[in-house]
Amino acid sequence: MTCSTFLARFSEFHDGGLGPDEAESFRDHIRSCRSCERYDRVVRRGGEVLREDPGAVLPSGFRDRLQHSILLLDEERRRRRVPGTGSGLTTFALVAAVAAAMLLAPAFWGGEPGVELPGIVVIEPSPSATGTDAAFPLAIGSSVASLGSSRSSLPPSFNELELWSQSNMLLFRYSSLYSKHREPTVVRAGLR
Amino acid sequence: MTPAQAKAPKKAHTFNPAQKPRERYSEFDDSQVVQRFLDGDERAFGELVDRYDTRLVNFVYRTVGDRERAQDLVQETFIRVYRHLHRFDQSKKFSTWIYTIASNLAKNELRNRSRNPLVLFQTIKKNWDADHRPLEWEDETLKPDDLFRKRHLKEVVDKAVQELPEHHRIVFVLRELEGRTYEEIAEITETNLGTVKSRLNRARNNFARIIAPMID
Repeated sequence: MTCSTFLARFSEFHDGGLGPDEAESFRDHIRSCRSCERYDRVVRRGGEVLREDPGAVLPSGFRDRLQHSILLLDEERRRRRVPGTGSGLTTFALVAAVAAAMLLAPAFWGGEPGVELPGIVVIEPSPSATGTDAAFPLAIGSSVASLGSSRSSLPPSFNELELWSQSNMLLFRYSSLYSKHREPTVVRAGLR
Repeated sequence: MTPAQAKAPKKAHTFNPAQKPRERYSEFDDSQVVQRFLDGDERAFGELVDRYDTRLVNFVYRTVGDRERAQDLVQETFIRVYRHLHRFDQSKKFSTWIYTIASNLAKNELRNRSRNPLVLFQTIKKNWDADHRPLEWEDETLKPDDLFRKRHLKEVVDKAVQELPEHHRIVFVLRELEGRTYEEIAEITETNLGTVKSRLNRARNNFARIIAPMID
């Protein structure tokens, strides 16, 4: 055996990876070659020194730190699980259902709403108005807007006196507007 | 791991190393301890930490050459194990898997360090500690000359390991210190058997060349 062959396959010999015959030829070479014998000795001794060294010693807080990190990890996992409470499939199904509801909704297509709200009555309808002029009480905005305009804009059946029906009169009398024009009267309890 | 296991609802594990006793795990091998953990026994993870913490810190320390950083990387290794253990292929050896994770983290560390070359404070501190370490901690049966020579030899050996190229160093440490088989080293380093043999041989060659002057 040559020294170069010895060096090329030294690791296999050193780690016991050779067959008995080959290993024996390596041992023979070590006995006969001083240089390779020294090489073998240096590697063995170097390995021993390396293994003798205790190396790194774990600090006392190592495991506490690890436990803390793992608790944080658990907490994070729990937090991630809470909002979903289900798989991605559930979320997908939910989104699909909402999208379908939106597409099928009449409002989405600009259709009429299903429920029509009743009109607001601001003037008590007179018996005569209930028939032909039923639409008038709904037009609050138009009646207010037309206050300054000509009376011809009012519906033909509009009777001004109706403004002063009993209920409206009561409202007017107790308003600040009425107090300006009322005549001073003294009414004492028990004098009449 | 079977698909059924993979789909099984995850139980929230809480690792608590203070929980005792774990003596009953001593008769279990790694794969059995892993299975216990996957079955919901949270103390099993503590057992895995017990089995590997010191070994991994030594391995990573020898690879990156910095004790504090080695501890950080081993912390990260265990966190990754905890996070991904349900995905571990139990037909493989757990020790190979955990060493692969640690080895990859160490390689990343060395790569990052080479991109941002800085003299780390920890490195300075480590050297200062070595220079100021009291002699009385050593073997008192030895003479001062022997003590000095022994300490110096240790330093040279440490330095020789650090001087090895990264890919040689990992293979060398896994074999010399951890006693891993060539097949395991190939798996851990994600290389083939021939590469492992060649790297190990070169690493030993360089190692011997550096320390030879110190050995009679």
